[in-house]
Amino acid sequence: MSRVAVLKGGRSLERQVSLRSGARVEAAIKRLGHEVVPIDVGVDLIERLRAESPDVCFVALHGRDGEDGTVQELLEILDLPYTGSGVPACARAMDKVLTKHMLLEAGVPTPEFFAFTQMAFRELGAAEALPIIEERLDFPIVVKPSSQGSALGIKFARSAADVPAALVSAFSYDARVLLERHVKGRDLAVSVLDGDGGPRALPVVEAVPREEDFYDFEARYEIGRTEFVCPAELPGAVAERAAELALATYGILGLHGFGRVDLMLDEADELYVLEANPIPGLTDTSLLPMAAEAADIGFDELVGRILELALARAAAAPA
Amino acid sequence: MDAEGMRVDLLEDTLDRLERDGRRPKFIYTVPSFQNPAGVTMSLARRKRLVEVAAERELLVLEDNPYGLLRYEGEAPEPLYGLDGGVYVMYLGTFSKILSPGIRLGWVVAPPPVLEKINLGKQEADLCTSTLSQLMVQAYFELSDWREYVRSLTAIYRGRRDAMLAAMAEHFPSQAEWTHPAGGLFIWATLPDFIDTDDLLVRALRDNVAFVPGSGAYLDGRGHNSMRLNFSGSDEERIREGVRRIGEAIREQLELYGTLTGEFKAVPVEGAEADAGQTDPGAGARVVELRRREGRPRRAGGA
Repeated sequence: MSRVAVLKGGRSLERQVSLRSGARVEAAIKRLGHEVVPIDVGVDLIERLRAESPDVCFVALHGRDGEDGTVQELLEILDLPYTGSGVPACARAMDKVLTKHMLLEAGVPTPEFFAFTQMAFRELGAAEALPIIEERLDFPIVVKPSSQGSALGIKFARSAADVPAALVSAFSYDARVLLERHVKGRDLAVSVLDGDGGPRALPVVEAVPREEDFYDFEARYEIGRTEFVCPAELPGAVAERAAELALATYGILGLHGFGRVDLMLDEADELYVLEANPIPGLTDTSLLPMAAEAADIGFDELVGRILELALARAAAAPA
Repeated sequence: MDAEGMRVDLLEDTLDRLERDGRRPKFIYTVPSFQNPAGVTMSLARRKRLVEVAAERELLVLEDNPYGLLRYEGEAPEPLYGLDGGVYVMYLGTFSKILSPGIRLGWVVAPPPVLEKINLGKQEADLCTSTLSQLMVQAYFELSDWREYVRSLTAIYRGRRDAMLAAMAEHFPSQAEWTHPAGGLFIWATLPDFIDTDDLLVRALRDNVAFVPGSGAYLDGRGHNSMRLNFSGSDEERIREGVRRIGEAIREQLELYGTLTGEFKAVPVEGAEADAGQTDPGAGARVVELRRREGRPRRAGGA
């Protein structure tokens, strides 16, 4: 039996999802026979961890602080084993721009994009370059903050007239935003889980919009307007290629334990990686647990394996 | 809704349409005085017409009046209940805004057959409100000078409203418009169309200041460039500082938009006064088809 601290909540915009992930993880850890120490991450985090001195920390945080390497850095300093990816992998994955550059360098397809800071517009006259970008990417263009999780701050520009407002919105979330070519097609997610034989891709999940011929990017993320199908109905070769790209992305970013890679499949059956999530949702409607279920890995087993991986990594690390 | 409250003409259009569709509304809900979130008050003429419409069509009206006693200027128009004589109008009052927010006690005035049903429903819902707190509130209103207490509250809130309006005139850009409520707790501000207040809120939160984005007041995606500002809970100094920070975040977005388009410049307001009551806090009434619940809502865990 181990003493497991579950880190959840925090101040990120994804606090609510994290609380749900955390609650579900806590229940699983109890069922596995471990002792649970729930911690809603706040200013007393270090104090709490010192007082509780857990054997291992399950990081069930999403978004800023929890998923970008900040909390992981603190756990490293305290020398506490923790679940999931380490500091550099989190930092790389939470930065969509860096992720895309690394993917391109490694030959993994990702939609063409341009990234700017607010400063570039304010002080370097980057706005003058917008018409060139718009021509290169062609409409519609997806505008998104570089560092947010979920779909927060993502806007869909149908024409040049939509671009400035979309940029203003995206800059509310981050000092850096990217303009990305929109890949029209199917929305896929491949979860990856480490194991004895190395990382393994779980069955593909597809997000299917409920309404026919709807073309509303934002609505795609609204409750009840999207249905998730797992395993996605795909030709074998496409599913294999999706798994291959997800594993490549996982490796390039240096993720550990588990993760989720989001992809688009265009009408010519070409696949593009959009981003990777070092700590995907673990709620009862989240995609990683859904994919694990489809691979006959129940939620308790999933949580148990993630914990074992964390302890094994800590044991293998030089003292 | 406009500066005179609910557009009763649009209500009638809506009722006509519902009738054509064979649908009968259960009742008409309205906050005629210092509406939440807009802060506007329904004019006497509109009130009279609303009561007529209710009688003509034999429809119940639920008059919710939590803020009516918090009036900082002018005379209160007659409540709908008074105009109607208690035939079709049900009236709701609350002690939350005039005694203590935590008290969670209110009162209902309604035609006797309706009241009977309400009693039944309430008993079923919560087995009656605590008798002890009811007795305490009763004793308070019997023994104390509650009118004096409400006067002291209105003096405080009037000062806060004025502080907020003055700070908005100073820090909000001239392209923004807002209501000038004669009472209640809310100001409704509308920004240029290209600002999405859901996103602006995220920017403002970084400076530890918050407001309610306008989209929360609609079911159909309108209100995305509006916000509700509440002046009840913070003292005047904090209100001034909060409005200054929100104003700065707005200005930053206006400037960014300006550099992106070259057509829109942030213009500082010089000695301008908050534009009283000219604002249309929302286009006309529309029936919004509510999405029926289909089992459990599904959503990816995101992250």
